[in-house]
Amino acid sequence: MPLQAPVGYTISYDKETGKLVLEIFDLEMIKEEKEEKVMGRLAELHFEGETAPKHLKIMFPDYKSLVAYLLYSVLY
Amino acid sequence: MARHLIAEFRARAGEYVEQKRFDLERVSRRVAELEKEYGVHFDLSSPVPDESIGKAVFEAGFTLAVEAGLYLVDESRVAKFREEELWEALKSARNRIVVGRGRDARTLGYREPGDRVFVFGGLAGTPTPLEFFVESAASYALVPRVDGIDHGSVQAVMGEMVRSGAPSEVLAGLREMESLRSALRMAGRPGMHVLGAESSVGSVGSLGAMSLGLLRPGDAQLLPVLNELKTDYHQLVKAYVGGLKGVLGAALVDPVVGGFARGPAGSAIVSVAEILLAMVAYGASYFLVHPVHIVKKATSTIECMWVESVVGLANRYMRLPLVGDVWPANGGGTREYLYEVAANTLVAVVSGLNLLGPVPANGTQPNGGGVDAMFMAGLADRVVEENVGFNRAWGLALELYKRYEARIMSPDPGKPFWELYDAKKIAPRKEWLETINETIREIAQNI
Repeated sequence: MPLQAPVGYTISYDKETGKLVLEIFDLEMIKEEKEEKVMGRLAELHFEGETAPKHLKIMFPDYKSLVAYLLYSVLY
Repeated sequence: MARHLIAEFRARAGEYVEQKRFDLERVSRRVAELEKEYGVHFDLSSPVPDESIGKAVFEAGFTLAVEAGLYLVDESRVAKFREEELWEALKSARNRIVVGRGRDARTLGYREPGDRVFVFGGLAGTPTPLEFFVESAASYALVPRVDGIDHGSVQAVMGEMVRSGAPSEVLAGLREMESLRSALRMAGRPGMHVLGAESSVGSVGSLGAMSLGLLRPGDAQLLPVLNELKTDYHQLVKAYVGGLKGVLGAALVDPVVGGFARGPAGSAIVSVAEILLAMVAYGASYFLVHPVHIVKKATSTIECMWVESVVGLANRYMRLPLVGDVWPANGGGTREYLYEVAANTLVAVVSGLNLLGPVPANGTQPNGGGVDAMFMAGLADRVVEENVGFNRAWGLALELYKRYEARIMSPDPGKPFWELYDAKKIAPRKEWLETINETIREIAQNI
């Protein structure tokens, strides 16, 4: 049994723009692993097939916007 | 009357004992007897503990707490607590507490092996340069799964080394707390629980931070139990003022494995006794379990993992919020560091502990970042979700141990935060992420 899924996303803070950056490195992998479930749902929404780009990068003005977007992806 | 005053008055009226005699007779000799009386043994050739050992460790630790008491070094006297007082304190102790503030508040509690793990991230007392303090702290706060932060210490201010008890130590505590607040605002999580004022060995850093409102209700300060079964007025003063200000006490229980607490069996007994005494004398709200091997140091040694594990098992009879420290010998950027984190996490989680760390290079160098805590928390969650059993987790940990055993005594401290991370973007560098993911795949394939 694989005990752990790879780290497939990060949330960082760009000091120059003051924005939070959500970056998913492999949408397909995260979609399948359903990493932390919410991220899995988000990846599912953005995944457009095996041949489409699998990298996703979204910038948010603040943490509330990031959380709101994650909630939206769950409820969508 | 506040617990801290009871401890002071009891000690002042208590028996005078020379410190050496306390260490050798009241602690070491008695612990050796208790190991035999209660049948608590550690066997390096077969280190997986039997889950039933928890009861014996609890009873032996309880007996030690009652008999030895808490030694107040400033007075060279012992504060004793009666059996009924310890039971009463245990009964009235909260086994779940809400820490942090507002939408960033979380629950930290006693946990059964299947319960969610509370995760502290941060460099936990590691000397960290001020120029990277905010960024390195933010790297942990940016990880959604990190529930609370316990970050590094400030060792120099205005170009001068900090001196214990001096104004420079107060300033270091203030700089640390101001930087933490900036980091939490940056990450958008201003109410996150802070275990702070790590820069002060004594009490002045905490007192300064509390008086200026930088350490606030919902936060916690570190209250070490001195080795072994000891305290001083610094700790009692901090605990007392913290109690008045609504700042929680996080008791640090860090017996030296191979010191006066004897080997792993004795250290587990001493840990339980120190938890009980910190509860009754400090009014501590939660407890950090951090056995330190006298030579090898790291919590990821077999001996220290065993201590964390059986103290977790003994906690079934105390039901207190316990946190297992994860302090590997190696540092960020190395695979051995990740093996250590994984092994330590597996054992701690199935033993009922929450997690704090990982703190690289035995807490000596700031060689890690938030993604390390993400790795630790991801594994902890998977262990809980998959309901990994006690023996299986220990078996996996022992397999992992083979991969880092040789590097415990000659560890690779790894790279500092500013090489593992792009400090301007507070994002882990590609190479470090790749090493983490390759190691995860390797562990999945081979273990």
